[in-house]
Amino acid sequence: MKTIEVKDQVRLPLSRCVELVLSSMRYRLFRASITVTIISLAGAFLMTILGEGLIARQVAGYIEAHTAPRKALSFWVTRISVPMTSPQLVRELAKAQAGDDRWQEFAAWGRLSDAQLSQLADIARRQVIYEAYFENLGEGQRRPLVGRAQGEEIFTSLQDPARFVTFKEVLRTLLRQLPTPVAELEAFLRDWQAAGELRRTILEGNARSVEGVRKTYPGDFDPQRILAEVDDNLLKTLGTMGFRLSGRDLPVVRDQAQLSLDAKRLAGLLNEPVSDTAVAVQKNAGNNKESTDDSSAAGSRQATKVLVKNLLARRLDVDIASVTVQMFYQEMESAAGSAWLVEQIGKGRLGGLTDNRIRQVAQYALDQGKLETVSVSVSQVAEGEGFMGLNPRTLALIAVSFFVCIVGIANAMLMSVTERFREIATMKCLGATDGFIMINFILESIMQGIAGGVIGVVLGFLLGTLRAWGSYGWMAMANYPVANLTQAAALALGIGVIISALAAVYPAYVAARLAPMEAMRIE
Amino acid sequence: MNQIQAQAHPPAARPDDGERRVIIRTRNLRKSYRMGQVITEALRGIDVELYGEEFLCVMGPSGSGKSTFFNMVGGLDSPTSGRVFIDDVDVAQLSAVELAFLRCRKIGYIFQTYNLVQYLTALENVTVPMAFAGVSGDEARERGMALLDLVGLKERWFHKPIEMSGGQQQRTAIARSMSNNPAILLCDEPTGNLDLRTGAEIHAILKGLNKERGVTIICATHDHRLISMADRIMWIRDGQVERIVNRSEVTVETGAIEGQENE
Repeated sequence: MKTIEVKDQVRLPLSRCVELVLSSMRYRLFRASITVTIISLAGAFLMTILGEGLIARQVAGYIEAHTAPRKALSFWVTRISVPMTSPQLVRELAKAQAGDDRWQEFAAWGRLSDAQLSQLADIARRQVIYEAYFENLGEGQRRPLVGRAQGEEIFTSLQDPARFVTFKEVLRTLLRQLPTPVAELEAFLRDWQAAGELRRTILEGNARSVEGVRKTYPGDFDPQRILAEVDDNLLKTLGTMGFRLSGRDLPVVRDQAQLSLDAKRLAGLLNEPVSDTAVAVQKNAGNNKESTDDSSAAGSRQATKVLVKNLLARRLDVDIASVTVQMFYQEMESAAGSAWLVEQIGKGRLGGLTDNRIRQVAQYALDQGKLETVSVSVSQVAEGEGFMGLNPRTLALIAVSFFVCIVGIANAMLMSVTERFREIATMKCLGATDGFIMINFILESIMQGIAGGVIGVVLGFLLGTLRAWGSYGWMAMANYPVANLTQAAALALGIGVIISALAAVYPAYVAARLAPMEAMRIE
Repeated sequence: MNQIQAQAHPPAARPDDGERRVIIRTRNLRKSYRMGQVITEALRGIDVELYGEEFLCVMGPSGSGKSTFFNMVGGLDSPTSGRVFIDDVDVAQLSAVELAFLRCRKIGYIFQTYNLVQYLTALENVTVPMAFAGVSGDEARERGMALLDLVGLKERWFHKPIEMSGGQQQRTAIARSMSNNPAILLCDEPTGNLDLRTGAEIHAILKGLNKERGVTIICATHDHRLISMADRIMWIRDGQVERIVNRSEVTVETGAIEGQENE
C-alpha cells in the first residue's frame, strides 16, 4: 500500500485567526454585542463595587486622620469638665494598655496597683463582650432573658441567684449560645460584683479631680480656653490631680483648642460694628455711581449701626438676611477676603487675629464643617475587610453574577455555533483542523471579552466615581486612590476576559466536533 | 459495462485503458446509521474504482446512499466497514489532522448551496484553503486572483457573496475548490440551484478543469447536460451500485431525454 505524503496540517498564524475572527464578528455584530454587553455589565458591576469601596476607604482614612485632633480636643474638654460615668470607665478600661496614659490616670484616681488594674481591665473586657451580646439580641429574646435591664443593670440584676436560675432556663429554651460557656458568665458576674468597689474608687477619684480643676479656675469656667492656654504650670496642676495630658497629645490639643476658639471669635466678628471712617471709605468705594444721589441718605446711614455683616452682604452682593457664617468663612479663606476684613475693622480690634491667622482659622472651620457632613456615611461603607475591602457577602454576590454571565455567554455562543453549522463544516472541508475551529471560537469570545471588559471598566469606573462623589463630594476627588483603582480596573478587565474564555470552551468544543459532512446538508 | 471508453477523448490527452490510474478505490464499503432503535443501512457493499482524470457523474434518487457515498469518497466520514483508498491511502487509517490535510490539498468540494463564507470577499474565500495549507499572503493573493480569472470573476474579487448572483457564487466556489490544486473535485449538485444558462457556465468551467488540468471530477447531479459531458455515469440505488456505464452508451438515450426536465 502506497502512502501519500500526508503531513500535519499547518497551524494558522494567530494574526490570521484574529483577522478572520474580526471579519466574522463584524458580520454578526448583534451576536457579538450580546456577549460584549454581558461582559460589560459584569465588568461595570465589579468595577463599581471596587471603585466605590476603594474611594470610600481612602476617604475614611482621610477623615480619620483629619478628625483625630478634634477628637483629642473634645476628649480633653470632657475629661477636665465632666466626671466619668461607669460605662465610660468600663469602655476605657477595656481599651487601656498597661502603662499608658489612661492606665496611669486610673491608677492615680483609684490608688490602685498594676495587678489590681489589670484585673479590672480584664473584667472590663469581658463586660464589653457580654454587653455587645445582649445589645445585639432581638427584643423578643432579650426581654425574657434580662427584662428591661440596660447595660450594667443586666449584671446587677443577674446577681440575684433566683434570677440567674431563670436566666439559664430561658437561655436553654431559646437555644441561644452565649459568647462563652455559662460557667464563665457566672464567674464574670462574681468578679464584676467584687470589682465594683474598685471601679467606684476610680470614679470618685476622677470626680474629685474634675472638681479640683473647676476650683482652680473660679468664675467663668471654659475648658476649651484652659486647654488653649495650657502651659507647664497648668500641666503640673493637672498632673497632681491625676490627669495625664502627655507630650504627644499636648500640642495637638492646644492647637485645636486655639483654632476652635479663634473660629468662634472670627464668627463673632460678623456682628462687630464698623468704625465710621471705615464706613465712609466703603461707601465711596461701593457707591461711586450713585454717590451723587443726595447727601441726606449718606447722613442717615452714618447714624445707623453698621456691622461687618452689612459690609459683607454688600461685598458679596447678596441680601443681608441670607449672609451665613459659612459664607463669611469662605470669604475669609482667601487672601483678598482676610485683607479686606483687617482693613474694615482695623488691626487693633481683631483681638490678636492676624491676616494669616484669619485665613487659617477660616479654612479650619470650613474643613470641620465638611468633615462633619461626610463622616457618618463613610463609617457605614469603610468597614469592609478581606479581599480589596469586600466583605464575604459582596464577594459571593459577585461570584454568582459571574456564574450567571458564564451561562449567558455560553448560551449565546452555542446559538452562534448552531447558526454557523454550515460555515464551520465548510471550513473543515477546506482543511480547517478541530484545533483551528476551537481556537477561532475561543479567540472570538476573548476579543468580545476584552471589548466588553473595557466598556464595563469605563462604565463602572464612572459609576463608582459618581456614586462616591454623591456620597463624599469633594473628598472623593481629593482622595482618589489612582493606583488602587488602576489595579481594580486591571482585575475587572482580566476577570472579564477569563470569564468569556471559560464560557466559550464548551461551545467551541461543540463546533470543533462538528462533522464536515454537515456542509453537504441542505435545509 | 465497466469497460473504459476512450474514443470520447483524444488518445493523446489521456493514457490508454490499461494504464489509467485508479485514484479512488472502495472495497466492500458499508455504512449504517443508527437512528434511535432503527439501524439504517445507507451503503451496502460498494466496490468501485474511479480513475484519475475522469469525469464521473453519480446518479440516484434521494435516499439511495448517494450522499453517503460522497462523504466516504471525500474523506468527510468514515465507513462502518470496508475501505476507501484515495491515491492508495486508506482514509479510515488517517487521523483527524491528516484528514484535514487530505481535504485541504487532495480534494476540492463544490456544494449545491455554494457555502461561501459570508463575511469574506470572493478573493478571501478563494484564499482560505491556501491559508490552511500555509501559503504566504502574497502568493495566495496572486494565485487567488489567477483562479478568479479562470472562472471569469477577476473584476469582482472584492465582492462579498451577498453581492453576487448564484452563478457567480458557484464560480467563486469552484475557484476556491481549486485553490490548492486538488486531484479530485467532488461536486454535489453543482447546478442544482441555478437556472439553465448559468448552469451552462458552470458546466463549461468544470469541463475545462477536467480537460485542461486533468482534475478528476466526481459529480452528483440530475442535470442532463452535465451528464452528457461525463466520461462515465454511475447509478446508485438502495446503497449499492446499480450500474456504471460510459457516456457513449448513454449518449443515445441522452438525446431521448434531452428535452425532458427529469429522467
